[in-house]
Amino acid sequence: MIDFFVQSPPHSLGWAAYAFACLMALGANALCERFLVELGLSWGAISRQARWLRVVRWVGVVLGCVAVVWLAEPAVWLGRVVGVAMFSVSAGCDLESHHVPPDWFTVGGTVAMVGVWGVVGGWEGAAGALLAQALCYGVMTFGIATFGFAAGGDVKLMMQYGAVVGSVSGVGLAFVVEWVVRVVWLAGWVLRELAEGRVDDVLRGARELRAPHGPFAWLGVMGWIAIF
Amino acid sequence: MDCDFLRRVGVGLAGVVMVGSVVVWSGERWAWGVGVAMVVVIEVVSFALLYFCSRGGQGE
Repeated sequence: MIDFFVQSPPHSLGWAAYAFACLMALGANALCERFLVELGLSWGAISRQARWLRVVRWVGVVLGCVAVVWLAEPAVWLGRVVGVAMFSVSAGCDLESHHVPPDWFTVGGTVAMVGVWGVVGGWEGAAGALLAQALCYGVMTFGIATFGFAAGGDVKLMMQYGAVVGSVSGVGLAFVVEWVVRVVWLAGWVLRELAEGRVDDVLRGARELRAPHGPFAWLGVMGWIAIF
Repeated sequence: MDCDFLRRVGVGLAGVVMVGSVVVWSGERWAWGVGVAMVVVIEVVSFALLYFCSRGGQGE
Protein backbone atom coordinates (compact mmCIF):
# COMPACT_ATOMS: atom_id res chain seq x y z
CA MET A 1 0.00 0.00 0.00
CA ILE A 2 2.74 2.45 1.00
CA ASP A 3 4.80 1.43 -2.03
CA PHE A 4 1.85 2.20 -4.25
CA PHE A 5 1.81 5.81 -3.07
CA VAL A 6 5.55 6.34 -2.76
CA GLN A 7 6.30 4.91 -6.20
CA SER A 8 3.52 6.74 -7.96
CA PRO A 9 4.45 9.94 -9.81
CA PRO A 10 5.93 12.33 -8.90
CA HIS A 11 8.65 9.87 -7.87
CA SER A 12 10.84 12.46 -6.17
CA LEU A 13 8.10 13.73 -3.85
CA GLY A 14 5.86 10.80 -2.94
CA TRP A 15 3.89 11.50 0.23
CA ALA A 16 4.72 15.21 0.22
CA ALA A 17 2.94 15.64 -3.10
CA TYR A 18 -0.15 13.82 -1.85
CA ALA A 19 -0.15 15.88 1.35
CA PHE A 20 0.11 19.06 -0.73
CA ALA A 21 -2.81 17.89 -2.92
CA CYS A 22 -4.93 17.22 0.19
CA LEU A 23 -4.11 20.66 1.60
CA MET A 24 -5.05 22.31 -1.69
CA ALA A 25 -8.32 20.35 -1.78
CA LEU A 26 -9.20 21.32 1.79
CA GLY A 27 -8.42 24.96 1.01
CA ALA A 28 -10.58 24.79 -2.13
CA ASN A 29 -13.48 23.29 -0.20
CA ALA A 30 -13.17 25.88 2.57
CA LEU A 31 -13.14 28.75 0.05
CA CYS A 32 -16.15 27.25 -1.72
CA GLU A 33 -17.96 27.09 1.64
CA ARG A 34 -17.27 30.80 2.14
CA PHE A 35 -18.71 31.71 -1.24
CA LEU A 36 -21.77 29.54 -0.62
CA VAL A 37 -22.35 31.19 2.76
CA GLU A 38 -22.26 34.56 0.99
CA LEU A 39 -24.98 33.22 -1.31
CA GLY A 40 -27.06 32.23 1.72
CA LEU A 41 -26.30 28.50 1.43
CA SER A 42 -24.68 27.71 4.77
CA TRP A 43 -24.99 24.16 6.14
CA GLY A 44 -27.88 25.15 8.37
CA ALA A 45 -29.84 26.76 5.56
CA ILE A 46 -29.86 23.93 3.02
CA SER A 47 -32.04 20.86 2.64
CA ARG A 48 -31.00 17.34 3.53
CA GLN A 49 -30.54 16.47 -0.16
CA ALA A 50 -28.33 19.54 -0.65
CA ARG A 51 -26.22 18.46 2.34
CA TRP A 52 -25.55 15.15 0.64
CA LEU A 53 -24.57 17.03 -2.50
CA ARG A 54 -22.18 19.09 -0.39
CA VAL A 55 -20.60 15.97 1.10
CA VAL A 56 -20.17 14.57 -2.41
CA ARG A 57 -18.46 17.82 -3.43
CA TRP A 58 -16.05 17.70 -0.45
CA VAL A 59 -15.10 14.10 -1.16
CA GLY A 60 -14.93 14.63 -4.94
CA VAL A 61 -12.56 17.60 -4.66
CA VAL A 62 -10.20 15.74 -2.33
CA LEU A 63 -10.21 12.62 -4.51
CA GLY A 64 -9.78 14.73 -7.64
CA CYS A 65 -6.70 16.54 -6.31
CA VAL A 66 -5.15 13.29 -5.08
CA ALA A 67 -5.89 11.64 -8.44
CA VAL A 68 -4.06 14.45 -10.23
CA VAL A 69 -0.86 13.68 -8.33
CA TRP A 70 -1.30 9.99 -9.04
CA LEU A 71 -1.96 10.49 -12.76
CA ALA A 72 0.17 13.49 -13.77
CA GLU A 73 3.73 13.50 -15.02
CA PRO A 74 6.30 14.91 -12.56
CA ALA A 75 6.87 17.98 -14.74
CA VAL A 76 3.28 19.16 -14.64
CA TRP A 77 1.75 17.77 -11.44
CA LEU A 78 2.16 20.98 -9.46
CA GLY A 79 0.42 23.17 -12.05
CA ARG A 80 -2.38 20.66 -12.44
CA VAL A 81 -3.00 20.26 -8.70
CA VAL A 82 -3.17 24.03 -8.18
CA GLY A 83 -5.39 24.37 -11.25
CA VAL A 84 -7.79 21.58 -10.35
CA ALA A 85 -8.09 22.88 -6.77
CA MET A 86 -8.84 26.37 -8.05
CA PHE A 87 -11.34 25.19 -10.62
CA SER A 88 -13.00 22.97 -8.00
CA VAL A 89 -14.06 26.11 -6.13
CA SER A 90 -15.83 27.52 -9.20
CA ALA A 91 -17.32 24.17 -10.23
CA GLY A 92 -18.43 23.44 -6.66
CA CYS A 93 -20.20 26.80 -6.35
CA ASP A 94 -21.88 26.25 -9.71
CA LEU A 95 -22.94 22.74 -8.71
CA GLU A 96 -24.63 23.83 -5.49
CA SER A 97 -25.87 27.32 -6.25
CA HIS A 98 -25.90 27.66 -10.08
CA HIS A 99 -23.74 30.75 -9.54
CA VAL A 100 -20.04 31.22 -10.14
CA PRO A 101 -17.77 32.81 -7.52
CA PRO A 102 -17.13 36.58 -7.60
CA ASP A 103 -15.13 38.10 -10.45
CA TRP A 104 -12.02 38.64 -8.34
CA PHE A 105 -11.78 34.86 -8.00
CA THR A 106 -12.69 33.74 -11.53
CA VAL A 107 -10.77 36.40 -13.45
CA GLY A 108 -8.00 36.59 -10.84
CA GLY A 109 -7.72 32.79 -10.91
CA THR A 110 -7.34 32.86 -14.68
CA VAL A 111 -4.47 35.35 -14.43
CA ALA A 112 -2.92 33.38 -11.57
CA MET A 113 -3.03 30.12 -13.57
CA VAL A 114 -1.23 31.79 -16.49
CA GLY A 115 1.45 32.71 -13.95
CA VAL A 116 1.55 29.16 -12.56
CA TRP A 117 2.03 27.67 -16.04
CA GLY A 118 4.68 30.32 -16.68
CA VAL A 119 6.58 29.14 -13.60
CA VAL A 120 6.12 25.46 -14.49
CA GLY A 121 6.62 25.63 -18.27
CA GLY A 122 8.37 28.94 -18.92
CA TRP A 123 7.28 31.35 -21.66
CA GLU A 124 5.65 28.59 -23.77
CA GLY A 125 3.65 27.40 -20.77
CA ALA A 126 2.29 30.88 -20.10
CA ALA A 127 1.60 31.50 -23.81
CA GLY A 128 -0.25 28.17 -24.07
CA ALA A 129 -2.44 29.05 -21.08
CA LEU A 130 -3.13 32.54 -22.48
CA LEU A 131 -4.23 31.10 -25.82
CA ALA A 132 -6.32 28.38 -24.14
CA GLN A 133 -8.25 30.84 -21.96
CA ALA A 134 -8.65 33.19 -24.95
CA LEU A 135 -10.14 30.36 -27.01
CA CYS A 136 -12.58 29.52 -24.21
CA TYR A 137 -13.53 33.18 -23.85
CA GLY A 138 -14.14 33.53 -27.59
CA VAL A 139 -16.14 30.33 -27.96
CA MET A 140 -18.34 30.99 -24.92
CA THR A 141 -18.98 34.66 -25.65
CA PHE A 142 -19.71 34.03 -29.31
CA GLY A 143 -21.80 30.97 -28.45
CA ILE A 144 -23.86 32.78 -25.83
CA ALA A 145 -24.49 35.74 -28.13
CA THR A 146 -25.41 33.52 -31.06
CA PHE A 147 -27.17 30.53 -29.52
CA GLY A 148 -27.80 31.62 -25.92
CA PHE A 149 -26.78 28.23 -24.51
CA ALA A 150 -25.29 29.57 -21.28
CA ALA A 151 -25.20 32.58 -18.97
CA GLY A 152 -22.63 35.35 -18.65
CA GLY A 153 -20.95 33.82 -15.59
CA ASP A 154 -20.06 30.76 -17.65
CA VAL A 155 -17.71 32.91 -19.76
CA LYS A 156 -15.53 33.62 -16.70
CA LEU A 157 -15.84 30.00 -15.60
CA MET A 158 -14.59 28.82 -19.00
CA MET A 159 -11.72 31.32 -19.03
CA GLN A 160 -10.55 29.73 -15.79
CA TYR A 161 -11.10 26.28 -17.34
CA GLY A 162 -8.84 27.17 -20.29
CA ALA A 163 -6.13 28.57 -18.04
CA VAL A 164 -6.26 25.48 -15.82
CA VAL A 165 -5.90 23.07 -18.76
CA GLY A 166 -3.12 25.29 -20.13
CA SER A 167 -3.12 24.39 -23.83
CA VAL A 168 -5.42 24.75 -26.84
CA SER A 169 -5.18 21.06 -27.70
CA GLY A 170 -5.93 20.18 -24.07
CA VAL A 171 -9.01 22.38 -24.09
CA GLY A 172 -10.30 20.57 -27.18
CA LEU A 173 -9.76 17.15 -25.63
CA ALA A 174 -11.23 18.14 -22.27
CA PHE A 175 -14.23 19.56 -24.11
CA VAL A 176 -14.79 16.23 -25.89
CA VAL A 177 -14.62 14.35 -22.57
CA GLU A 178 -17.01 16.87 -21.01
CA TRP A 179 -19.56 16.38 -23.76
CA VAL A 180 -19.33 12.60 -23.60
CA VAL A 181 -20.21 12.88 -19.89
CA ARG A 182 -23.00 15.33 -20.70
CA VAL A 183 -24.54 13.06 -23.33
CA VAL A 184 -24.40 10.05 -21.00
CA TRP A 185 -26.00 12.10 -18.21
CA LEU A 186 -28.69 13.42 -20.53
CA ALA A 187 -29.39 9.92 -21.89
CA GLY A 188 -29.76 8.63 -18.33
CA TRP A 189 -32.20 11.42 -17.49
CA VAL A 190 -34.27 10.77 -20.63
CA LEU A 191 -34.38 7.02 -19.99
CA ARG A 192 -35.45 7.57 -16.37
CA GLU A 193 -38.24 9.93 -17.43
CA LEU A 194 -39.41 7.54 -20.16
CA ALA A 195 -39.32 4.57 -17.76
CA GLU A 196 -41.62 6.51 -15.44
CA GLY A 197 -43.95 7.30 -18.34
CA ARG A 198 -43.25 11.04 -18.49
CA VAL A 199 -42.89 11.43 -22.27
CA ASP A 200 -44.28 14.98 -22.21
CA ASP A 201 -41.74 15.96 -19.55
CA VAL A 202 -38.93 14.73 -21.79
CA LEU A 203 -40.17 16.74 -24.76
CA ARG A 204 -40.64 19.84 -22.61
CA GLY A 205 -37.60 19.31 -20.42
CA ALA A 206 -35.19 18.93 -23.34
CA ARG A 207 -35.72 22.63 -23.97
CA GLU A 208 -35.95 23.63 -20.33
CA LEU A 209 -33.09 21.51 -19.07
CA ARG A 210 -30.67 23.73 -17.18
CA ALA A 211 -27.74 21.79 -15.82
CA PRO A 212 -24.90 23.74 -14.18
CA HIS A 213 -21.92 23.98 -16.50
CA GLY A 214 -19.15 23.89 -13.89
CA PRO A 215 -19.38 20.27 -12.70
CA PHE A 216 -19.34 18.92 -16.27
CA ALA A 217 -16.37 21.14 -17.10
CA TRP A 218 -14.61 19.83 -13.96
CA LEU A 219 -15.25 16.25 -15.08
CA GLY A 220 -13.90 17.19 -18.52
CA VAL A 221 -10.67 18.45 -16.94
CA MET A 222 -10.36 15.30 -14.80
CA GLY A 223 -11.03 13.08 -17.81
CA TRP A 224 -8.39 14.91 -19.83
CA ILE A 225 -5.86 14.51 -16.99
CA ALA A 226 -6.72 10.82 -16.72
CA ILE A 227 -6.16 10.26 -20.44
CA PHE A 228 -3.12 12.51 -20.92
CA MET B 1 -22.09 55.67 -26.59
CA ASP B 2 -24.84 53.22 -27.50
CA CYS B 3 -24.29 50.14 -25.37
CA ASP B 4 -26.19 47.90 -27.76
CA PHE B 5 -23.70 48.78 -30.48
CA LEU B 6 -20.74 48.31 -28.12
CA ARG B 7 -22.05 44.88 -27.11
CA ARG B 8 -22.13 43.86 -30.77
CA VAL B 9 -18.56 45.08 -31.17
CA GLY B 10 -17.56 43.10 -28.09
CA VAL B 11 -19.14 39.92 -29.45
CA GLY B 12 -17.48 40.47 -32.82
CA LEU B 13 -14.11 40.88 -31.14
CA ALA B 14 -14.79 37.67 -29.18
CA GLY B 15 -15.18 35.94 -32.55
CA VAL B 16 -11.83 37.37 -33.61
CA VAL B 17 -10.30 36.07 -30.36
CA MET B 18 -11.81 32.61 -30.96
CA VAL B 19 -10.35 32.31 -34.46
CA GLY B 20 -7.14 34.17 -33.63
CA SER B 21 -6.22 31.95 -30.70
CA VAL B 22 -6.41 28.84 -32.89
CA VAL B 23 -4.50 30.52 -35.74
CA VAL B 24 -1.71 31.65 -33.41
CA TRP B 25 -1.58 28.25 -31.68
CA SER B 26 -1.25 26.42 -35.00
CA GLY B 27 1.38 28.87 -36.28
CA GLU B 28 5.12 28.89 -35.85
CA ARG B 29 6.44 29.13 -32.28
CA TRP B 30 8.67 32.11 -33.12
CA ALA B 31 5.59 34.15 -34.00
CA TRP B 32 3.80 33.38 -30.75
CA GLY B 33 4.97 36.51 -28.97
CA VAL B 34 3.21 38.98 -31.27
CA GLY B 35 0.24 36.69 -31.87
CA VAL B 36 -0.46 36.02 -28.20
CA ALA B 37 -0.11 39.71 -27.36
CA MET B 38 -2.61 40.66 -30.09
CA VAL B 39 -5.12 38.01 -29.04
CA VAL B 40 -4.92 39.03 -25.38
CA VAL B 41 -5.28 42.75 -26.13
CA ILE B 42 -8.37 42.11 -28.30
CA GLU B 43 -9.78 39.82 -25.60
CA VAL B 44 -9.32 42.44 -22.89
CA VAL B 45 -11.04 45.09 -25.05
CA SER B 46 -13.91 42.71 -25.84
CA PHE B 47 -14.26 41.68 -22.19
CA ALA B 48 -14.26 45.30 -21.03
CA LEU B 49 -16.93 46.30 -23.57
CA LEU B 50 -19.20 43.41 -22.63
CA TYR B 51 -18.59 43.80 -18.90
CA PHE B 52 -19.43 47.48 -18.73
CA CYS B 53 -22.31 47.21 -21.19
CA SER B 54 -23.98 44.29 -19.44
CA ARG B 55 -25.92 44.22 -16.20
CA GLY B 56 -22.57 43.88 -14.49
CA GLY B 57 -20.41 41.43 -12.61
CA GLN B 58 -21.61 38.09 -11.46
CA GLY B 59 -23.71 35.93 -13.75
CA GLU B 60 -25.59 32.73 -13.34
